[in-house]
Amino acid sequence: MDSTQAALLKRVRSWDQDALTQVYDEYAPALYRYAYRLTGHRETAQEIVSETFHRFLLALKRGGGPDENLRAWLYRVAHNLVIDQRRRQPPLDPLPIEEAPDVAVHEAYDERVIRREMVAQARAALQHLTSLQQQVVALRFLEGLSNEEVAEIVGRNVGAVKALQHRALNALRRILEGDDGD
Amino acid sequence: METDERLAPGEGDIRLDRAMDLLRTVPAPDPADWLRARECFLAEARRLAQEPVSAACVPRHTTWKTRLAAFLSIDWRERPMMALAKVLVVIAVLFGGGVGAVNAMEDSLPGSPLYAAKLSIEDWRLSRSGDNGAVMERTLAMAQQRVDEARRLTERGDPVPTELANRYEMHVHLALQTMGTLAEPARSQVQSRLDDELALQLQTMMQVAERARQLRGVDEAPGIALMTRTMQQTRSALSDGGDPTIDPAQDQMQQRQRDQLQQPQQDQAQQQQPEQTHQRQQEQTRQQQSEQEQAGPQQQDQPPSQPQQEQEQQQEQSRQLQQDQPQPQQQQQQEQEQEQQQEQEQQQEQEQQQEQEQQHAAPDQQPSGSSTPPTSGSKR
Repeated sequence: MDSTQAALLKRVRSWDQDALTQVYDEYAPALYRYAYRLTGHRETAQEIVSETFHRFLLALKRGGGPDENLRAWLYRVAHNLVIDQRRRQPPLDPLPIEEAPDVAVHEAYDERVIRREMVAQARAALQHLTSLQQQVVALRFLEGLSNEEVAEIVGRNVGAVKALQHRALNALRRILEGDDGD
Repeated sequence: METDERLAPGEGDIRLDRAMDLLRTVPAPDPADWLRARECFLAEARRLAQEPVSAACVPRHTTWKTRLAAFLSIDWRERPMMALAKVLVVIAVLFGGGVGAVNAMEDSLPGSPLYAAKLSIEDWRLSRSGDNGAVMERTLAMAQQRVDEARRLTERGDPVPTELANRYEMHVHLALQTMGTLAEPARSQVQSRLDDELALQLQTMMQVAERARQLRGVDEAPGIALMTRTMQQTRSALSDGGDPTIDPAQDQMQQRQRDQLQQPQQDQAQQQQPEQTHQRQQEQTRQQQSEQEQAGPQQQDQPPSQPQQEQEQQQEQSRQLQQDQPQPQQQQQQEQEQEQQQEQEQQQEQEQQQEQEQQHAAPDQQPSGSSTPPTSGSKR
């Protein structure tokens, strides 16, 4: 843990409002992206972000919370919330094509439909993986973190993370080939 | 695809690369919701920062103690209505039981175990009264309480104890003393009020006395009579305009003490009454004897007449009574005097006999028809 992260955590534990604001502004967007990529739903992702920071404050109040790596702690909480959300309710219907936020404005309607279908297939393939594989793939290939960072978040060593990556990509490849074959 | 280097195993797999590209695309959140969520986070952080300590952990409710402790724990912030309900329940239990006990003590009557506590609390309240006005109020309330107790006792069929009447008298006396310390016009007002209350209490006691006569067949119970007399005397003293702070109740107590002292003397006098009757009979007997002696010795030869026989019988009876009953010193002295008188009479008779013998020795000088038979009185 670098000195900057340690100093920030110390200020956070003393309930420094500036430090808390800094934490939120720095990690909330990344958590939102992570939650959206796993859930595919904007409002659900925002709720997960809010719940993650609510739990962060309660943990600080009880004397718990992150000891060294603040980002790893927040990602773990957000990932657990995503899993809980999937257990509570089935996957939500995507937005209509016209309101789909992930579609370029200049694309034609047909292109939007095709693109949307492909995104749905990719997310469905990702959700066929195990929870840990999903977490490793999302952090490593979608969030762009290093193996060391991913290993720190998931609580495994780097070799285990690489093995998880290998198995997860092979599974995705098989799933996508199977879907294409269908 | 920017992650081609990381996707070494999937190199050449276009589908996988394209799927990753599609999943990386993330729409921007709603700005309003985003700002609102940020403000909520900071507000919660400020609120938690103001709390001094963290919340205590709640133990598992496995025993009745922990269940009771959990029930009694109050969390105003999380469950305000539940906390309010708990507070109301606790207040109802505590003060409800306390009020019940206090009511039972306030309603207690003489003879009840709680009555002593009731009187003690009354005295304590009286001692805690500040000025004379408060003392006056408290004293009048206590007097009224005694009257109510007398009424309730009578309704229950129990006699009104004299202790209750004495305590009522003490309250009235204290009220009079307190009234004496007041300055005009407060004194006149208090006097008028005291008189009114005494009138009402007197009326109540009249009804109580009537009720006691109906229920118990007692003409006048001592406790009721004592309270009634206290009220009457105090009212008369107030109406006379004298200084009631020293006389009525105190005089009444002194009168009662005098009555108690005189009672044994009356009893003793009643016991002595038959003895005095005997003494009077003896005196009458002696007077009759002296009259007989003055009437002349001729009557002494005759047999005793009927009244004389009755007198002798009465004398015999009085002697027997005197021997049976214990005699006080005065009676003994009187008896000694009587004996002395009898001895003198015997000496006089002996002298008379000697003179008669001398007359027999000289018959010429003896008047005819005279004789000296032995009198019955010599046998006394």
